[in-house]
Amino acid sequence: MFSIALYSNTSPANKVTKDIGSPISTLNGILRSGTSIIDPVIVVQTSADDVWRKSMNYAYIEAFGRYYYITNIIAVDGQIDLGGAFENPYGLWELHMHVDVLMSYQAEIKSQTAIVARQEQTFNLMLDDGIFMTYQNPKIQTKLFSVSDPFETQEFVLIVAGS
Amino acid sequence: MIYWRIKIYDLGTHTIDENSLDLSELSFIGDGFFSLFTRYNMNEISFSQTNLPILWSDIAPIYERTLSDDYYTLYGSSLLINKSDIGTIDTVIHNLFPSFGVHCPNLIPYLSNNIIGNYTSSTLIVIPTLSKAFAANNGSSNSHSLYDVDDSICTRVGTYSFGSYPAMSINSYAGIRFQWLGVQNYRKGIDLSTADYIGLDCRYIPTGQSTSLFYDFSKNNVFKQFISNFFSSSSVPDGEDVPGPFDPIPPSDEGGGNGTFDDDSDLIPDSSLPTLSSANTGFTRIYNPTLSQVQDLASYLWTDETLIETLWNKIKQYFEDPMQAIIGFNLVPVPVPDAGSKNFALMYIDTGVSMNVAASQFVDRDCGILTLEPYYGSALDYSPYTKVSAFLPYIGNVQLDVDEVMGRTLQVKYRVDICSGSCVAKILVDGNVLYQYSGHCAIHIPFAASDFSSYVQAAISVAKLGVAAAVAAAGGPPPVGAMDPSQQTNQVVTTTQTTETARNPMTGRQITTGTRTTIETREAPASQGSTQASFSALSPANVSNTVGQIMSSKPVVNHSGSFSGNTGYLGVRRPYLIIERPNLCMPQNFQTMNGYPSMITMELSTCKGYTRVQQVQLTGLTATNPEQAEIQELLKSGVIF
Repeated sequence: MFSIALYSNTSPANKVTKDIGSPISTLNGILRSGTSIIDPVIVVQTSADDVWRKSMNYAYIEAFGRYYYITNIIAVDGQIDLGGAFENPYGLWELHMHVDVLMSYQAEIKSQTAIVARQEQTFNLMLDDGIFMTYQNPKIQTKLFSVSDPFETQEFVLIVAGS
Repeated sequence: MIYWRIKIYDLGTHTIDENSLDLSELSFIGDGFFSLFTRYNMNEISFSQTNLPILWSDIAPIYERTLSDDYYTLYGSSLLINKSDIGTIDTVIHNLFPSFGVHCPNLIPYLSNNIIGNYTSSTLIVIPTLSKAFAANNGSSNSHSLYDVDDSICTRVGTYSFGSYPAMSINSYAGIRFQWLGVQNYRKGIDLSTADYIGLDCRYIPTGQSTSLFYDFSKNNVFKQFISNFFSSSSVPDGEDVPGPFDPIPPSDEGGGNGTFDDDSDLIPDSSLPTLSSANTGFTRIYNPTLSQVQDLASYLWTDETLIETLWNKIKQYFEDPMQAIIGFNLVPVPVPDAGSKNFALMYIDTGVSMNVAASQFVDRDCGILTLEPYYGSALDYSPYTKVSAFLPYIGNVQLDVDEVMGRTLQVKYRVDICSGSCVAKILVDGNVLYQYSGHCAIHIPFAASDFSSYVQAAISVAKLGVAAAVAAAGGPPPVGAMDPSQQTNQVVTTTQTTETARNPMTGRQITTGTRTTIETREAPASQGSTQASFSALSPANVSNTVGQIMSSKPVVNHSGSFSGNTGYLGVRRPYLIIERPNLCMPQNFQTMNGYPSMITMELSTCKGYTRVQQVQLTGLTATNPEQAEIQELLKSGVIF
């Protein structure tokens, strides 16, 4: 059995572990033609509700062991009738997908040791990688040294020859 | 083509001691070959092998039209050891290559175990120019397969065996799969100069006997050089050596790394107050009169209460001019050390005016401390972003190196020569005297006409200097001859004071009629150029809004001209700092979308939130090569854990 679980992903694409919840629908069938496992293109025969009307944009194919972004859904042999309604008489939908490597390999990615250039919580602000922006008006501060009257004395000095 | 071989000993019993290896024994002989393994950085292994055509000669008659001579170009290759084979790996290899799951950047993407299906290959040779792959020991010890290679698909086109001759079992240790990955353009061999280990596997083809020697080349650099000569040579299959364009230049070598990391620093102490001064010599005396005492003295010198007294004084003054004895008359802004009082005497004439006498010519004055705390607690508190200047009374504004003073306690001390008015301001940073500037803090009080002319002249000179400095600071052209020499770079300023004298026509004695100050400015040699810090680095090509560009593009404006002597007395007489900090623009949730600078090595499972990786070597991943490349790219562009 070849199954495709369809999800609605609301997480940003660069999030490793995505919040996809439970499958909105699951398509079961047989893989009838060859396809790439990295960019699979699979034609399914089902209703529109099962493939796109419920905001499905994400998939998991158990046979491939990978999560996928749904990059495009093409109605095969779809047509517009004279009344303006869209019909897909055979219910054939071509799902174009691309593997989500972050979600698919999240455990292996997290086990990697890396030199981290920037981090949200572990950082060293003494590093300057040119990311900070500043306004054009700088902060000007004046600070006095602690002795308030170092040169307020006024004294005459008269130097004469002889002892 | 360069074939490199090693002379084969009696491999059944003989063991070559690496320390006694005689290089003269290395030579080219007929049917031997050896393979070379190199280890780089504990996690990368490369492989090269000699003279494969000898092995192929047995089957060449059958497949010569298919494989052609291109096969003979396979004398450089890479080796990959699968992590799953660790348990069966030879102990020696395991010790040498402890980090498996090897990352080989030269791998061709479609080379993996999967391409040969259920068959296990100990040796996989790929000839990209022919789109062929040859799997030796493919499933059994003497079963070899030939594949057509088309992108990611391999199609087996034949299975072969070579009788009892174990031709392709070379380097197949028990349970280990060595994949030899031919690289089409691999013509220059492997650079062994950066490998820290090399495994040498010697074989004698007719019998298949072998021995393996693993050399630590830190112990045997001569052999390393010997082997490197072969591998670093450039050659083509037809045997013509192609000299490299930089062949005369010796190869780069190791170096550096011998620093002491000694962070100790010596404290630069302040000097002690001089104990000897002109006050002790007997040639001069320094008085510290009060205003009323000065008025009494003036009264003595210029007026008399009675005619008789006036006549008597004039008679005495006729013989000696008492003004000659007055060397200087200053108003100083520091308390003069007291050594008791004494009647003021000019020459041998006792004026009858009692005055305090100074104990020393030199006076120290402490202006207090100031701790410069970091504002942001980040790189923004340092140069070139933050600028610090100090105003020093009687000297003017001086620029401080913010890297030296940030987060430290500054102290300003003055040492004043009350006779000349010269002063030195010292800025101590955490007790270290790091900055010293000289100035002049006394007002010369005129007491004769000649003194007043020099007084006015000195004031005019100072005013000129101040104006020139202000004009220069504002960006305008300074007037000719009026530029403040101290504000110019690469110039030497010489100040000369000349005492003008004349003869007293009545007494014939020499008297002082005034002093003249001249300032000479000349170009200094480059080595004596000014070291004043400059922050004006505005470049039209890179004007933007990053912090460094803003702070470095701001003009430098002097907050004062040259303060000295009389003018210094009229200005601010308390030191202070002017700190110019960048005004940070920090959007809300900045760190969740950009992160903060980290540069810390850590396991990614410990990262929370936005993370951008600077470098990672993916190990243990089961992803395909394009997927690993995408993972690398995503990690380096920033992901959210």
